[in-house]
Amino acid sequence: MSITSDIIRGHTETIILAHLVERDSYGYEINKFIKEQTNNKYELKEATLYSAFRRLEKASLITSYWGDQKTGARRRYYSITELGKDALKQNRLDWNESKELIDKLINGGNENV
Amino acid sequence: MYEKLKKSVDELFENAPKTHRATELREELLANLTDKYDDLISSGKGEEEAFKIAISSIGDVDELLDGLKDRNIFDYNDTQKYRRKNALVLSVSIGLYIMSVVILMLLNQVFMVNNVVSVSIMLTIDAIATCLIVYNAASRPRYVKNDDTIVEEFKEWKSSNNAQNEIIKSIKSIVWLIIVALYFILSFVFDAWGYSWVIFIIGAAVEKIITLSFKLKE
Repeated sequence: MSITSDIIRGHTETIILAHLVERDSYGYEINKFIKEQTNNKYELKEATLYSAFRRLEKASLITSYWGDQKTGARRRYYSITELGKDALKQNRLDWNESKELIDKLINGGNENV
Repeated sequence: MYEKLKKSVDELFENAPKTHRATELREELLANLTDKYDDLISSGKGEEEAFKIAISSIGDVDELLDGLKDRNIFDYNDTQKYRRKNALVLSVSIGLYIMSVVILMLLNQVFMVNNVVSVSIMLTIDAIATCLIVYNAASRPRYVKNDDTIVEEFKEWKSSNNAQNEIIKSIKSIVWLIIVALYFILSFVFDAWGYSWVIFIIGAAVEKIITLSFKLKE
């Protein structure tokens, strides 16, 4: 499981972008999405999540705004930019390429061994 | 229990820089933890357990706080680009200043153009050159404060002060240029060499007024 964690953490930004491309969202919702998609096996630490948000914001791949909750604390929503969509497209290509390569390297080109 | 969550988050940010960004991050973190806590409670967890799970999900706070300190405002490439533009504009304007005198002499001596017309042409060229310098100073990338510390405020103050000084300097140079030109035009046209020097005293007064008006605007 530790290898999986590392790989997922290495793609935190892309995972966030992939979620935001569907709709605007906030930290907890994104993390819940990750948890649900991985059958409760994996979830990001808050610190990792926010660091990724800041990096993405700095690179202008996402923007943020404060929601207007009637009750409780305000939520900070994130939304993907055009630049972010391009980056996501490129990252998906990169990922699929490396997936194939690693498959070949690790499984020796034969997945049924 | 919400109070307890808030207190824990506040404690985490005790050593964080007291900035706008830190406050926002704290608010964001608290909102997410509260959501998480509510979810855990509604999924049947006890209050104490839900609190513990929420707090432990924060992870490495130092990683978070380090991001707050990271401020790289001036991109190296941008600075380089600006420097190159700056040098180009400056050389063009200085070239124009020199050219204007050459043109004045040519018009006057070779083409025998009337004094007033040739001086006006020279002034127009000088004005263009000065405008270029003013534009260059005004469009200089400004240092944007991204932190609420005194150091940042000082840097911003210094940066805006420099930009303003450049503008004042340019305005003053235009004023003196006009005064010198006026001195020659008036003296030649009205043959008033005897008392036309008064214009320089007026010029000094005008310069003081410009400095004062900028200071008052602050």
